[in-house]
Amino acid sequence: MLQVNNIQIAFQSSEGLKPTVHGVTFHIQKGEILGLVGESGSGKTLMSLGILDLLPPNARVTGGEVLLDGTDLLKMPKSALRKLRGSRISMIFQDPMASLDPVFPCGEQIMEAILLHENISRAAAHKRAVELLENEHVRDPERVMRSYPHELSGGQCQRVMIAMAVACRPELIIADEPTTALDVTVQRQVLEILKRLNHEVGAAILLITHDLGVVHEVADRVIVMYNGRLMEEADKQELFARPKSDYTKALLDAMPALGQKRGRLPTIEREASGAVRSVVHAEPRAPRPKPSAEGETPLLEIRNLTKTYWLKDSPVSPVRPMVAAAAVSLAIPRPPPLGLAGASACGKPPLARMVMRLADSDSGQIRLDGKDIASLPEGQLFDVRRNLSMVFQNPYGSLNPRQTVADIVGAPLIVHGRRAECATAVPRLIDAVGLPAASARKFPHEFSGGQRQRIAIARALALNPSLVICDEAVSALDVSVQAQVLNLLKDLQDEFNLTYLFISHDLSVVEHISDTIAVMQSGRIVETGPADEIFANPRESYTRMLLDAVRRVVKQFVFGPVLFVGQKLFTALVQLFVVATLVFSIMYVMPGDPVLLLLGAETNPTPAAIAAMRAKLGLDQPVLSQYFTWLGNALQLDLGQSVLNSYPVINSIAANLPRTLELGFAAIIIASLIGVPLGIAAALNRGKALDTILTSLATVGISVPVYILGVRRLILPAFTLGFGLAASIARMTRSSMLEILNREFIRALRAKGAPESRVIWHHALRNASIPIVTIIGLQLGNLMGGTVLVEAMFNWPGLSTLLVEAVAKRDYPMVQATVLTIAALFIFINLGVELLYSLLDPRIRRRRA
Amino acid sequence: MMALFRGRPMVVLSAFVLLLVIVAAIFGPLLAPYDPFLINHLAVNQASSPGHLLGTDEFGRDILSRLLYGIRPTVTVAIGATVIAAVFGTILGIIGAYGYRWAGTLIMRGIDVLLAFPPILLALLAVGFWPSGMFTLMVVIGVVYIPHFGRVAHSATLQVIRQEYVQAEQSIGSRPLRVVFTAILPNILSPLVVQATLTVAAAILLESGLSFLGLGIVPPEPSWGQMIGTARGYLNLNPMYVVWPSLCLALTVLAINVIGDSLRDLLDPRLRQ
Repeated sequence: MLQVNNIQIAFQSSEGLKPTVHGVTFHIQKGEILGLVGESGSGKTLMSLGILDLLPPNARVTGGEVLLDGTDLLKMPKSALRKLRGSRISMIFQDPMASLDPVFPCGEQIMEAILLHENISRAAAHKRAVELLENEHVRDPERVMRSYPHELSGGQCQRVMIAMAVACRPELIIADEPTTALDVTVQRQVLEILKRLNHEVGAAILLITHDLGVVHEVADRVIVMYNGRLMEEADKQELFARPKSDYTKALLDAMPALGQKRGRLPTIEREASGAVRSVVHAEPRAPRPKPSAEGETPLLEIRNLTKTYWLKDSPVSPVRPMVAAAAVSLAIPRPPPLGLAGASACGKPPLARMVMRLADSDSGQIRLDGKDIASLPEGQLFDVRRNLSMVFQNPYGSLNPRQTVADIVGAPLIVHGRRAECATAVPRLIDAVGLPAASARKFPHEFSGGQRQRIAIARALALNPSLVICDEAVSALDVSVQAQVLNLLKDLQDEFNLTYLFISHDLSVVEHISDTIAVMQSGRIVETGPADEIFANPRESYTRMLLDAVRRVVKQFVFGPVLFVGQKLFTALVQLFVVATLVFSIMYVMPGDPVLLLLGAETNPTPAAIAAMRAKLGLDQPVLSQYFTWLGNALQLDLGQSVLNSYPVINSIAANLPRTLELGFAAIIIASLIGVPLGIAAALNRGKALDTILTSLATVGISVPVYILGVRRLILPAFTLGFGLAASIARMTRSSMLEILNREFIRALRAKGAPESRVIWHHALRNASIPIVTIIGLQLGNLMGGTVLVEAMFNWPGLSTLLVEAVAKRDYPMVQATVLTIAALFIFINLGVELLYSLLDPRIRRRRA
Repeated sequence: MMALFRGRPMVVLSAFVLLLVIVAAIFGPLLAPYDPFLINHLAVNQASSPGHLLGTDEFGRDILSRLLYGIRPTVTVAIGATVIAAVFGTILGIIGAYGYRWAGTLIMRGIDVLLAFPPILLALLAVGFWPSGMFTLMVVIGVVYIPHFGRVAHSATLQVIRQEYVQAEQSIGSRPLRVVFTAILPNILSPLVVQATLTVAAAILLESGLSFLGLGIVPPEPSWGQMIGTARGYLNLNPMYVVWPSLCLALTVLAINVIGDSLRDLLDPRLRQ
């Protein structure tokens, strides 16, 4: 049905074309499930995108053909190809929540997938969407239809995506790592759904994954890719039983398998000739006999540790408890490592952090070498930290990008005052983890994931600790690299006499490295024992744990939005109050005695005159009572009298305020009407001439000071002010629009077959409205500032004119009043913008159910 | 560094303009053909001539010389203000994100309140009441932009703290100060540098705006903003009087903004790696 012949894809870089997929040929028959296996960098995702013409802008198909029932998709006109997407070939992406448009309900999006290709009524589409969800065993499909993506779990979102993909009964579904981003428990369910759909709808599936286990479970045939080339193609049974290519053999070998404990994992190496083979390095020396642990104090003992987190799903929902640890008790005897396994989100990460005292527990003891460190104050922990170190999960985040490898590995020594040892210790450590000596001077970004983990391990060993906690240390690595790191950990354990607390969600990995295993679920230890015993019944404990869904505590709270508005209002009032206090204190902070200034020092006022003036201004009262008097008056809108002409200040304010409002309002409207379309136009034409022209105009616009333009009195004040604002708005609109166009859900929309116009006007713009409102709101500051100058230029009788005059003439009451008014205006307009923003963004409007 | 310039003529041009400005700031007084304070009643409000390349102002003073002299105070105030804003703003921002919770909340609320005042308002108040002069201006404008830096430093620090390498530092027992200097500061430099560039431009505009209103650098000291303000009164007599300082101001600020933008473009994608 689908025949791909010699497809070649390349990236366009500044140095020319870089080929990434080098001529891959394969086919998919009607109704079969083809597994496409490859590690990161193999080109598998690119190839699948290339089939549907969804490649990123800097990648191109440079050769080959893609025949769907004989017609070459690569030569098809765009409009025909678009009709095909979503109806004959559809796609499911890796991150389900990111692939859905966050501002539309899920039901709308499923219906869109239907209505784009079929001419039926909305009611019929709605009905079909509900049926699709029911078919996937979604509980309460009507509620899911009404929900926004952020209100659903990852598994539910993926079901929505699958519903969208099968809505028009496609002939082929391309599923790109559909389960990788999901919880282990949910992965299984999604795979079941895919299998069932394959039976029922008869759609062929191209299942792309790096996980051989997934392929084994679901696929009929398998193809293997490595470095942009096809390595092997075979039926599933054949592939797993009798792999032909060296790479496949090596890949299968490198996976730690449940129930088969081996000393060292084979790793994948490339020989000088380019051939790939699997290699088992011999054990460096005979393993040490395990010393008996009877009667000895365990190295690490955790007793009754508890920790509860209080989470808020969104700003407007109430807090709910999440139990991370409930009376956890564990003991690690010396040398043999303890493995801790469990599905993610069940409390393992907090446990590791609590042991390291990076997070605090609510109660319980953590005894390291007999001493309780759970409640030690930070100062005393310093010595303890020498014996305890950790290797983190994320090799890309756990190394400081601005430090050299030598700095990173030597940091523990420096912190503990042993800087002198760095010169010898650091090279030794780098060598011990298998990295070349020259690595010391390099920076982390020059290394691969596996190499970075080695650096992290070297750092963990710097102080020769007794206990090393490996927190999902290999989970982020490819299978072949994982094998290398696991081998390394085993070697180091022997060499440095280490004990590991090895934490992972992958039972096979845990089994490989540990002698004793504890299984954790929902914050509780459910099983402990020697590895052999646990795995005597692997299916039972593992499956039981996996299939038990994680229960969620759900609370419906109706008054969320009211609370939100109330909070914002309260903040605004507090701000106003603080501003008022600051304004009041102006009088006292400013140098110079106001009384003398008013009377005119040259006239040598008599003490009596000074006292009289002081009394008139009310300055002879104690400060605090003046403050309250002033505040009280202000609340009644009595802001005093101008010292110049004794008219009530409030009258001047009332006269000038509307002028300023007019000016500001007109300016911001003009600015938005010019700026937003310009910004959008620039973003849509990114890189082309129009973009450059518009962006340059905008940059010029913000650089030219406002008052220069007004020199030619033909330009109205509002335009003058609006023009500068328009430039800022245009620039920020452009970058917001670009950021949105780069998001995953845009690609998913195109894969659904949505025409470009709909993608932009219906979806992208709606998403962009949120940051655009924020942007316009941010310009308020510039607006206020600009009015000062514009009013001065055009002699526009607004508030700022009042202010400048008052400042020049030291008319304090007037100054206070104008500043207060301007600030109040500012605060409340800001409040309005924030409330508008919350109306537009469903993530704020609706709490997660 | 060269990536900054490759294929972007605007950036090259801007760098050139800035170089000129810096050279003029340093050597201005030497390059000026006339004494900027020299009054000459016989040559009032003249257009360009061989003797006075850009003409003369209402007191017969040479415009070119006044422009050259005017660079220094403007640039000094702008850079000084940016340094003040950067140092204090960064300290506050880092404390706000990394220090004790109560200190953080207090600082960020304070910043929010200060951001409620448009900069020119605060600056107006301050210069209106305190003796004018370069130093006052520098301090005032610097203080006015502290909240902006604080905001940027705060959000950048928040992002950095989430990274595991900060937790790694803590796990080996690093004291907070060490964490700040080795892990936080080096990794928040990029947004701070971009903010600094844009603040210099904003400070120049603010100073010239104040001078335009008559509250910044007061005559007879020359300043571009002040010259523009005065020139408005003489549009009929010498229209070019207003053009020259306007052009200088616009080009300088434009150049700084272009460089700031390309810095931001350059530094951002690398962070995503």
